[in-house]
Amino acid sequence: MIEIKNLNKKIGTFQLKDININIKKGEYFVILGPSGTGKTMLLETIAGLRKINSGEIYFSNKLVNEIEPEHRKVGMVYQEYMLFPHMTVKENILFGAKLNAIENKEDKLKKLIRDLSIENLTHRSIRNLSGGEKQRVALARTLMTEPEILLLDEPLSALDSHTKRKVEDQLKKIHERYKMTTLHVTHDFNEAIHLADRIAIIDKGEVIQLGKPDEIFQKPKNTLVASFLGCRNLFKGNADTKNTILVNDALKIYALAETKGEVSFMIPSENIILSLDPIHSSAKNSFKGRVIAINKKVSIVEVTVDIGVNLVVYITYSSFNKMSIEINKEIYVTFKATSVHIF
Amino acid sequence: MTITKGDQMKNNTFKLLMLSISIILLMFLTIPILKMFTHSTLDIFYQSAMEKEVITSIFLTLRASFVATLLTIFLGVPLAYSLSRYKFPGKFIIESIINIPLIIPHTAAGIALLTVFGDQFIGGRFFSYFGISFTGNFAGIVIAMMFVSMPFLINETKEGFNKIDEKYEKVARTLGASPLQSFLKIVLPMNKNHILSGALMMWARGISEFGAVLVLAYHPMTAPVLIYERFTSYGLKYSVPVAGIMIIITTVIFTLLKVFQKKDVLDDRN
Repeated sequence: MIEIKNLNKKIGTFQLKDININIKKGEYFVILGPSGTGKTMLLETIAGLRKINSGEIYFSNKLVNEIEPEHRKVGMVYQEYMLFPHMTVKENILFGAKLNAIENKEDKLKKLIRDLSIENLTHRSIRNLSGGEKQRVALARTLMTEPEILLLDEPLSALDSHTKRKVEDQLKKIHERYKMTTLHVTHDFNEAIHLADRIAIIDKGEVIQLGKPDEIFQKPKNTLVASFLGCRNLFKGNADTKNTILVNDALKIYALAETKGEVSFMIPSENIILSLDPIHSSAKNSFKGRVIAINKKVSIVEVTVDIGVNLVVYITYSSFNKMSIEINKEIYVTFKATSVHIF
Repeated sequence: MTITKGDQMKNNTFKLLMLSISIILLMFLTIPILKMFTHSTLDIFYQSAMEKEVITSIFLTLRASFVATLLTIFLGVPLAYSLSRYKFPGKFIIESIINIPLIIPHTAAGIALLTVFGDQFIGGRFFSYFGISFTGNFAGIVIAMMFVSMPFLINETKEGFNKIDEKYEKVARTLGASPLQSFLKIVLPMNKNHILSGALMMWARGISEFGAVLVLAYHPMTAPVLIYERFTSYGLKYSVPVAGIMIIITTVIFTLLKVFQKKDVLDDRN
């Protein structure tokens, strides 16, 4: 559906470099990256709002480089919604429909406002709407023009966490109902996991990694991706040929190391087992340590154990209570050599 | 931290000092204006206000400044938009040129206009094909007012465009609007208050223009020229009523301007 080939775009000192992305028809594709990495710029080049320096953009195998935004059949929703302040909600929603000579405008309007639960807002001024309401009106305004591609620029960033989750669910439902190819830009990896069929991680204008959410979260390509995704337990050590990594010249960790010399590696927190006694199992890594920090989250507890390096382990509240974990308690950590992800 | 009695006294003394100094300037501003209305008798004031020459000149002034403002809206809004949105070499120079009328003597502005739009010069000759002559004519008054007061409209309009996020236009484009449609249907209505307040400022400034109008078109006589003529020919007593009427008119316009500006502040807050 969308094929981006060797796209380059330079503004001042910032540059989008050799972007290559293929997005399938009906796919929910998320571009994930920290702020200021060119995500919005990429969306705007796809929408035709910015001319590119080189490369090609195809929609359904048709080159669209020279096509003006109003003829690309793309819909764009910005983080700030950009609802026209001199129009009512209804006028906003119908703005594009009037320009595009959409058939059965009134029927479509009724259906859309029902789908987005904004029936009671249509005659209101946009000034008095809440963030969530503005978001839905902006979405309705875009969907009213029946775009083939929906571009969402940080659409949930301005919302509080409760509204955000609700709108996320609504976005998912809308996507399932309208089956529109969607490109969603965000810096929030939870949002990406929840919504995306596939994710592209972008940093400093370059695509660093592209794949399904599970693949990316399980095997981040490098420490930069891993740290951006919020992965813990990122370490450096010396790998030797015996499939071991020596950390700080003292701690020996078993891993499937294929390279020799200094390596960066990650041990996913959810793959580590905590126990009060040593476990005799096939897992080759088992260490005795001491609890040095306890961080209670909504559904899990983060326990930091000093085993020579500080290892963060996620456990449930029931395990936490059952094991009576407290600061300075001696405890065992166990994980398999295959759980050690070397970059 | 507690505020001591000494601190409070220091604060009050400071406040008193600032207000006392302010009063000097305010008196300097208001006394001559108020004196204008007490200097002349009510009878002379009424007689002047009813005089055909005075009424004609006041309406001529209002009309000429209104036409100048309309023309500048038509030509100046695209200029203000270009300065707000586009980057191009020499932009800074153009912005400086626009403000030149604010700093040069207005008689000099009149002379400059005369060298282009005088009957024997290129602009004057060109417009004479359309039956328009500037020297000693309504058209001359209009261009004189336009030249000296357009910075007010252009600067205010540009300021308004600067405040409008370009993303509004971008969204309009993706919704199917051409650049012209997104300008006419989105940006222009959103900048309505700034354009109106800029136009009112320009209109008021145009009405007050004397120097440039004097050089290009002494006749037909605008109100400021009439005030000057009455003063030099008949003395202070007979120039004061016309001046008083002009002050009332410009004060009304200025009050309207404040209403728009206040509305704009409220709109921006929402």
